Amino acid sequence: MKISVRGVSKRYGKILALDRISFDANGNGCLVLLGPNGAGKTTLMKVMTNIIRPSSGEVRINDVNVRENPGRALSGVGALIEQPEFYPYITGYEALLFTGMIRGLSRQECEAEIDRVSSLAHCKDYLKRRTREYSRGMKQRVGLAAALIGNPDIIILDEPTFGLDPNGMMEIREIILELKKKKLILLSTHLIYEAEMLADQIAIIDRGRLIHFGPVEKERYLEVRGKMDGINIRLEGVEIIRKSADNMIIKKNEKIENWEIIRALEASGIKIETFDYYSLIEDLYRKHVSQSDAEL
Amino acid sequence: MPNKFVVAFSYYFKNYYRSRSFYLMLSLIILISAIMSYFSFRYQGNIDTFLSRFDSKTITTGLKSRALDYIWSFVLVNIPVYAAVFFGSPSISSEIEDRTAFHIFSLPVGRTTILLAKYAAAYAATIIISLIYLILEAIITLKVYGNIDVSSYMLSFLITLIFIASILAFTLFISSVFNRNIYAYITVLIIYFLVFDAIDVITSLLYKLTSPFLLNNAANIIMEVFINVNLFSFSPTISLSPASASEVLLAVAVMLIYLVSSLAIALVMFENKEAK
Repeated sequence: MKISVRGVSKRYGKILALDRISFDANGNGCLVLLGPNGAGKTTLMKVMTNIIRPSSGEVRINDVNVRENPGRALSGVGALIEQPEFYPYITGYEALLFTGMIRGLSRQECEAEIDRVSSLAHCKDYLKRRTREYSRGMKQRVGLAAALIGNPDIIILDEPTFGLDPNGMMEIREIILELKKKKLILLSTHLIYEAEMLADQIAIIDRGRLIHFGPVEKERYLEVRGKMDGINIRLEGVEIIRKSADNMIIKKNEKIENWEIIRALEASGIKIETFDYYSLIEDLYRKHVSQSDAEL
Repeated sequence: MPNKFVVAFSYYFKNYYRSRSFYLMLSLIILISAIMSYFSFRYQGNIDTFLSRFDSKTITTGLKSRALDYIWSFVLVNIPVYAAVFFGSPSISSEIEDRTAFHIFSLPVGRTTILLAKYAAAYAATIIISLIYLILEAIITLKVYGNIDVSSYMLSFLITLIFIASILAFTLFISSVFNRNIYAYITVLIIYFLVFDAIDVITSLLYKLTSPFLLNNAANIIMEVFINVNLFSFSPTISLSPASASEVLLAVAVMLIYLVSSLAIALVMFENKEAK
């Protein structure tokens, strides 16, 4: 499971939609592409899935160049790009059957797979209906099922919760959390809380440029709430990132345990109200996107 | 492992034969066939009058049956054009306009396979439509005159198959240029019925010949294999004999050139198509 993006640029006339983007993603986990609307997330995913061609640079999936050999490069990839549309006179079941058989499954294997993925994506009830009768949410679920059919190792999902009701969004996120244990998921979103929930690695894109790429070290950041005015904490392996009268963000090293921090905080006189993990994604996003704005 | 072309063909064929366009074409062809059948019986005597304008001495039952097939084929040459406009024109542009490309292009299948499967499916749908008319043509001719010139009929049938292949390839080529279906529909109709006719009129006026390289003129051979009467040009041909072998070969060659070149261009355009 390996995606390698090397110097990918995409130009539409005078508009530079992607500007020399490079990164690598290996193994299982979820890489979230985060960025404001129009940042270039979908364009990058389209380049990765051969929907559009890069103006320069290359994308390799499992060491196969997508541009040169899309059939082989995409053989282990399931994708849901933008809001999916299917041919209008085809049923959802037939669309999944087609997708599965194109991925090399036999008809029997496909039937079993359709049963599995339609249960997972909760779209079983309307698979026998023609897709022209589907709502946006129904199409999204069938699109997700299509991305999962054949059990691909790499799954590329472009705003997969778009158009779903809150329950549907939660269901999809839970599916992704389960999938990322064994697969490499590449997911785009402009929702920070979605990124926080799902990401193991994060790539922040703005105006076609990759402005941050790195792991999300959720377990290394902690947020402490409580009265801490005038109190100083000194503990080996702990660094205070931000502090206010009633809130503190700290970064700990891998060796130190949470109970040690709690004990040290209490010893220094802080009355702890809440103590929880903290995601720096929002901080990163704000810092990098505003920096990018300032540069322009 | 299933053959990807076969899988894609069956998928697209389902989408075509279940479409409104298919049922609209089917209804039209049944209506046209019924009208042609009625007139074949009702105005049977007029065939004699029509033929006697050229040569009253050689009028036989065989010639009459060929003349009736000629009249039926007069309608037939336009059926594949409309069917191709319905099935072929949106085949590439709709992928972009209807956003189905986002799903299809990301699958591990070559675009050439996808396009050829679409082409074959549209071809099959057009053949079904045309076949109804062709079968009725044979039945009515047999009913009216008791015989049919099998060799002329089969030749006309075979050329119709080639013509369908070429006009469909042409619509695919036009479709590959646009990202909107309506532009593809209109452009095919304008080129086939206006531009080709305009070129024909100009060459006929200037050089006093019917342009053999135009697809619509080549399609006339579907009628002319019965009797070689073409009154619809500035240089009419009038012969009650079937078109000569050289005329048939030239028309078929023109159709094949359109088929191969249009398909090749469509494949290149589709291969480089982007769904932005």
